[in-house]
Amino acid sequence: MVAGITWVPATVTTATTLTNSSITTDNVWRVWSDQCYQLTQQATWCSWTSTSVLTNSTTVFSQSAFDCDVWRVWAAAPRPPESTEARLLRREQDRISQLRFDESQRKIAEEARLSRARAEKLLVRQLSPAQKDTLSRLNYFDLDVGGKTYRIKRGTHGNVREIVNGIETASFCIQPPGLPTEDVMLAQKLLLEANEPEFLRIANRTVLRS
Amino acid sequence: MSIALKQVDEVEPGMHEIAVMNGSGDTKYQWNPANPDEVAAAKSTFDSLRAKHYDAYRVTHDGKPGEQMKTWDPGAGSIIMNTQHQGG
Repeated sequence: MVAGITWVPATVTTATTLTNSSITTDNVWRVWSDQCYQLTQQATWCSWTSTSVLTNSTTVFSQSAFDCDVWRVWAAAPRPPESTEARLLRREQDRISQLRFDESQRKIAEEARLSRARAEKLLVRQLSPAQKDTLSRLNYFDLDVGGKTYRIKRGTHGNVREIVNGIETASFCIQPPGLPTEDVMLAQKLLLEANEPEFLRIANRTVLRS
Repeated sequence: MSIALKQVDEVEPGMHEIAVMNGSGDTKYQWNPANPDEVAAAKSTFDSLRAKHYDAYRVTHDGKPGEQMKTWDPGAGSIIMNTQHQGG
C-alpha cells in the first residue's frame, strides 16, 4: 500500500480529483477501467489512445482526452499485491513456456545436426582417400586444379584458399546460399574442379600474402 | 502419364540417382535406367531444376572430379545438383 493509495474499491464520482502526488478516493484500478469521469492529472482507459505528455494541470473528460500519457501513468501506478495463487499460476505458466521453448530449441539443434551429418556423407563420398584423411584430421582437403593447389577448409565463407609453396596466398568467398556447411564445401569442390574460370569469376578474392 | 521419382535415403544397387542439395542436406531420387518412364521422370526433374538455374554435375564415387552437365544425359549414373553459387 502506498500512502494515499489503496486498492479497496471506493466510489469515484464526476467530482473526483486525482492529483499527481496524491490520489484521493484511492481507486486507481477502478479509474483505469472506468470511462465516465472528469479527472485532473490522470485518466487511463478513456484516454488510452492519447500520446501526449501528462502535465500537472491536465484535465481529461470522458468524451475527449488530451494531454494524457496513459501508459506512463499506468506503469507508474502501484499495482495490487499478487496473491499466492496468482503467483503460483504465473510461475507454472512460465515453467511450461520455458519447457516448450527448450524443446523447440532442441529440435532445431537436432535437425541441424542431422542435416550436417547427411551433407558430410555426401561430401565424403566424393573425396579421395587422401582428402578424406585430411578432412577428418585437419578439417580441410586440397585440390589440384590446372597445376594449382586449392584448399577447401571446413566452413562456408572465405574458406577456399589458394596454396603456393605451402602458404595460403589468397582466399575465395563463394557459396550456394542456405546449405549445410559440408554441402557448401562439396559444391565448391565440384565447381572449382569442373569449371575453374567460372569459380574465379564468381568468387570474391582476397589476397592474403603476395 | 508421368510418374514421380522415388525418394530414397540410400540408392539401391543398379539404380541411378540425382542428389539435390538443400537445407536438410540433400534429397536423393533414384530411377531405374531400364524403365523408360522413370528415365523420363528423371529427365523432367533434371530439366526443371536446370530451369531454376541449378548447377548439375555427373560424378563418380572415386574421388575424381565431377563433370558439369548443361543438358540431360541418360547415361549419367549419379548426378549432384545445387543452387547457383554467389560471391560472398
